[in-house]
Amino acid sequence: MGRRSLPWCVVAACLLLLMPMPVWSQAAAPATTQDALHALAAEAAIVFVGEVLDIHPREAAVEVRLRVDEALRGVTTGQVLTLREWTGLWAAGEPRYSVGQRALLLLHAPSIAGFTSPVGGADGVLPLHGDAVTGSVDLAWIATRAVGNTGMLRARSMARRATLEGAAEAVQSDVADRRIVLDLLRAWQRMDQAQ
Amino acid sequence: MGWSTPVVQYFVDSGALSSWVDHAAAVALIDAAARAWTTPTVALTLVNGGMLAEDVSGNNVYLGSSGPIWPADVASSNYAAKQIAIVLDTDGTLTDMLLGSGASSLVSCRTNAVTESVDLFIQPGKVAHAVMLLNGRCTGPAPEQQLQMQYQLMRAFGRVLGVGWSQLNDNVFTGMPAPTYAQQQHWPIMHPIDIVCGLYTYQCLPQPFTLREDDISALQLVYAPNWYNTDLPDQVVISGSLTFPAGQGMNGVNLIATREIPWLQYGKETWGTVSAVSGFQTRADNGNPVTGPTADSMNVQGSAYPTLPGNWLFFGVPSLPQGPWMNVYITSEPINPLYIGAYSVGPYRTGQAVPSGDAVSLVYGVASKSSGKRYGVVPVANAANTCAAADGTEAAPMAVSVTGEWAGVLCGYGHTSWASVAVRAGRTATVEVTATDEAGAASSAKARPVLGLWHASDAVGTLPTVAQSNSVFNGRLNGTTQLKSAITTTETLRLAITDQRGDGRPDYTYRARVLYADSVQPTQLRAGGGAVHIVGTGFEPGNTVTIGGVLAAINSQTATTIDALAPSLAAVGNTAVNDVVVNDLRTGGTAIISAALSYSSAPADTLTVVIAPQAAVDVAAITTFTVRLLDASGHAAANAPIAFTAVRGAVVFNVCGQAACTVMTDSSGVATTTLAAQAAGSVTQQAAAHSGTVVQTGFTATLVRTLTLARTVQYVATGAGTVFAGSVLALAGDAPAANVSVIWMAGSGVVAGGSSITANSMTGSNGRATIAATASLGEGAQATLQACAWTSVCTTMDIVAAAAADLRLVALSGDMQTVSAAATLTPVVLRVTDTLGHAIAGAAVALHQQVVGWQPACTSGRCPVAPTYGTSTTTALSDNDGLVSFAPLQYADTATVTRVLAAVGTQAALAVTLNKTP
Repeated sequence: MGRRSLPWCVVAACLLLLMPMPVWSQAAAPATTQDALHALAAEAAIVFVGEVLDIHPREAAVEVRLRVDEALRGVTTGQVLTLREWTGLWAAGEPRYSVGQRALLLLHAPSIAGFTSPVGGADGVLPLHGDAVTGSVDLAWIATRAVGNTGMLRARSMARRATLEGAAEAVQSDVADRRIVLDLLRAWQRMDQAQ
Repeated sequence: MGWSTPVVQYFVDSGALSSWVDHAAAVALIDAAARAWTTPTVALTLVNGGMLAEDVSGNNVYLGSSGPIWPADVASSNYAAKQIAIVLDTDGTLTDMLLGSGASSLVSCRTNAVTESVDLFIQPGKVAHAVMLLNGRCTGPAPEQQLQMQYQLMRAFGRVLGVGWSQLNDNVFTGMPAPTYAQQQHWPIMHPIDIVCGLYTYQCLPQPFTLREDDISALQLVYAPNWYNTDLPDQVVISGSLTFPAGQGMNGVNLIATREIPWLQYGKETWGTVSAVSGFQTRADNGNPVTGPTADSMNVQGSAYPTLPGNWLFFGVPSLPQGPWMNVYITSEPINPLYIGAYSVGPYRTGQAVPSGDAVSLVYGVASKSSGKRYGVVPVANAANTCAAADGTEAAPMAVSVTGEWAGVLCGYGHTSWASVAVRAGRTATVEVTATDEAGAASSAKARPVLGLWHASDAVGTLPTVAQSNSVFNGRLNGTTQLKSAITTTETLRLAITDQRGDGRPDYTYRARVLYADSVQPTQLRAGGGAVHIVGTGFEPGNTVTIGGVLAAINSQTATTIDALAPSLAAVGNTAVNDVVVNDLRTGGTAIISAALSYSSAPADTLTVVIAPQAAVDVAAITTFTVRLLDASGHAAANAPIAFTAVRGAVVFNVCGQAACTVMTDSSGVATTTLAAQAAGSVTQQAAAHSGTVVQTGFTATLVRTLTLARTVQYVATGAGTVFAGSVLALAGDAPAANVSVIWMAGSGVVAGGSSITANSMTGSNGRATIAATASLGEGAQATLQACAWTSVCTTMDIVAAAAADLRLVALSGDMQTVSAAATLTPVVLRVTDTLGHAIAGAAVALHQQVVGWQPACTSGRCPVAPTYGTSTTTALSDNDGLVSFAPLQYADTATVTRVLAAVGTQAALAVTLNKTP
C-alpha cells in the first residue's frame, strides 16, 4: 500500500506556521494567495462566517445585520451582528451586500463613529460556496492581490470563457475547502497572539 | 449617470497631505489626476476650483446623529458652489473614522488610499456632489508612492464622473494568453481589478496616467445628452441589440470592437479598441417575489424598461487615419466572473451569466475621418430558444409532479416559477433547485435561484411567510440552492423559484425537487424493530433512512416510496418515539417526519380477517383471503404492506404468483388476495403487518375424487340370472386411486335375482374395481346399479334388458379361416347385439359344430359325401361387451371342414365355415 499524500492546503498551512511572520507594507506585496489572505486577516479585528439577514439604510449609516455562523475573532457564534457602514460607501449605488449573502468576513474594528468596513475593501468579504459541511471559500479575489498569482489564479475565469459551461465549473483552483481556510485563520491568530 | 453641470470643480483641503506631500504638491498630484479626464470630445470640464476653507481633519469633522458633520464647504449641501471636496486626511484619522479602525494602515493602501463618495444626486438622475478622501498615510518618501496615489485618484475620479469598470484586452489581467505591449496600452484605465506586478500597480501598465480610447468612449457615453442625435467627429457609433432567437435581449455579454484597414499593410489590430456590454441600461436589481422589490426605486442602477435588455452601444469607435476606409469587427465574450460586486462590469452585479449560443462576430465597414452610426439587431446563433414556462402563476401555481421532481425555465425577464405542494404538519421538507445550462448540466453561471414558501391562502404580492432561501447556491452541489422548511400545518404550500437579480432568460433552466416524507407505516413497531414503508416525494437512489438517528437498511425504493428495516428499540437507545429521516448525503437534503415511529412491546395496530377460505377447499381451487389493518386509533391504515404467507401446506398466492406476496392496504385498510392449495392436506395461511401483527386462518385442501363407470349403460339379455360385470375407475385428482373400497348396491329394478345386492370390491393399482352381478329382467325392463367409494362419491349404471327377438350376432374375427391341415384354427369371436348395435351381456349363444372331411371341389358328375369326423353343441354367455369366443372343433393334421351354426334369442343365427386343407 502506497503512502497517502497530504492535501496541499494542509502542507501549506504547516509550512506557513513554521515561517516567520512577514511584515507587510506598501513596499512588500504578498507573494502568494495565502500571504494575501494572511495580510488581510492580520488587519481584521472581526473575522467570522455569516449570512446577511437584512439591510437597513439609515441617515448616517447603512446597517447590515448578519448572523454569525462561525466566529473566529471579535464576535461570538450565534450572535446577530449589526454592521454599520458609512452611508458614503453606499452612495455610488454598488451592491455592497445582498440579503442571504453568505461570506467569510474580515472587518475592521468599529471606529469611534461606530463605522466599520471590510479589510481590503470588497476583498474582505470572501464568498462561500456550498453548505457548511462540504463548502468552500472563494479566494479568487484574494488571489488577485498577490504578485505571484498573475494569471494563475485568474485561470478560472479564462477556463470558463474557453469552455463556457459545465466543464469549467470544475476548474476552481482558487477555491479552497472552507474548513481548511478557517483552520488556517485560527492558526495564524494563535501565532499572532503568541508573538 | 453624469454630473448635473458641465463644469465640475473640485476644491482641495487647505492642509498638507502628509509630511512628504505638502499642500502644493498634493494639489499638483490632484490636478494631474483630474487633467486626464479632460477631453475635447466630452462636454465636461473637471477643474480645480481652489481651496477648501479649512484643513479638514478630526478637529473639525464631528459625528452627528445623521453621520459625520463636515465643515460647511465640504458638505453636500454646498454642491452648487463646490461640487467635489477633496479632503487630505493627513494622519488617516478620517479614513479610520469612516471605514473602521485601522483602515488607514499601509496594508490597506491598495483600497483605502483614496475613498470617494458620491453623496448627492439631484433629479433627473444627475450627480451633484462628491467627497474624495486622500489617505496621507499612503504617501511617503518614495516618489512612487505619490505616483501610486495619483494613479488611484485618477481611477477614483473616473468613478466619481460616472464611468463604470470596463473589460477590454482582459488577458492583461488574466495573463492568458500573455499580453502584448499594445494590448497593455489599450487596457482601460477603468479596468476593474489592478494587476500586482511589484511594489506599485501603476507600474504594471504602460502610460498609466493616460486614458485609453475605451475610457474616453465610456466618458462620451455618460456625457452625451442624446447619444442617438450626437455625431462624434472621426468616430463611428455602433449600436444594436443581442437577442435570443425568440427576440428577448441577451444581457451581460461583453462586446469588443477591433479595427482593421484591409490594405496598406496596416491590417487588423491585435487588440480591442473599445468595449460595450449588452444590457448596459438594464438595472442590476430587478427585484423578485422572494427577497422583495428592488431597492433601486429611482433606477439609479438602470432601467427595467422591457426593451432595454440586450442593447449595446459603442460610443464611439475612433476612425483610423491611415486609410479612407476601415472595418470594425465586433466580437463577443463572457464577462470575467470576478467582475461582480465592487468590480462589476455590465448589469449583472451579483453574478455574471455565461452567454448562450455562439460567439458573435460582426463586421462594419466605415469611412475613415467621418462620423456615422450603425445599428443592428443581432440574434445569437444557437442560443437557447425555449421560453415557454408551464409553471403556473402566483395566483394559480402549478401542482408539483407526483414524483416531486420537475424541470423548468425562468423566462422571460422577471419571470417567477410558481408551484404548489401539499404537506402535512410535523414534517420537514427540503426544496432543491439546480440551475442548469443549455446542455442540462448544473451551472452557477446561469440563473441564480432563490426560493420562497407561502401558505396557499396567503395574499399574492407578499414576501414569503413560511420560509425562504435568499442565499443563492447554498446547496452542497454546484448550482444548487436549497431551502429546508419545518412544516407546522397540514396544508398546501406555494413555492416560488425566481432569479435573485429578477432576471429571466431562455437559458435559465433549472431542475427542481421536493424531498418530502409524508408517511411511514406502521407507526408502531415491536421492540425488535421491523419493516417500515415510507411514502413521499423526491427520493433518489443512494438516499439513506435513519430512525432515531440510527441507519435503517433500505430494501427497495422508488421516487415516492422507501421500504426499510427499522432498527431495534435497543439500537435507538431505548427511545420510545423517534423521527424518521430520509437523507440525501449527496445534496445535504433531508426529509423528516417528526416523532413518527414508536416502539412497543405489543403492536398497537390490529389485523382482522375479513374473508377466510372455507374449511375444505379442493386442491388448486381458487379461494379468497382478505384482511383489514387498523391503526392504534382504530382508523383504517392505508398504504400499509401486508405480507401473505403459508405457515403450513403448499399454497400459491395469485396476487403475485408466489408462495408469499406483499399487498398494500387500500384506503379502507383492506388487503386481499386469492390463493390455491397445491396439495391435499391442512393449510394455514398468514397475513402479517409490518408492526408484527399477525392473523392466521386455515383450511383443508382436498383432492377431487371421481368414480367413473366403464360403461354407464349396460345392455343385458332378458331373463333370470343374466350375468354381467360392473366396473368403475376411481381417481383422486388425476391419479388412479388404489385400494379404495367400492360398494355396489342395487338401485331400481330387479338385479341379482330380485333381491338387492350389496357387495364390495377393491380398486387395484390401476384404480379399477369390478364386480360380477346378475340381472333378472323381463323384455325391455330396466334396472340400476350404484357404485360408491369414499362414502359419498357414487355413480350409477343403467341396466337395460334386450328382448330375445331383438338379439343379433355379428362375427368379429376368426370366421373366415382357411389353413393347412397341420395348422390350428384360432378361436372365433362373435358379438351379441341388439337391433341398435348395443352389446348385450349375459346372452346365451348356442354353438352347433360339425367337422367333415375335406374334399376337393367337385365340378361334374356325382360328388362323394364327405365323412363326418365329429359334432358338438355348446352354449356360451356373452360378456359385458357382448363378446362370445369359442374354439372351433378340429382335428390335428387332418384336412377338414368345420361348420358352425351359432344361434341366440329367437331370431338370430350365424353360420361359419372353417377350412383345413391338405
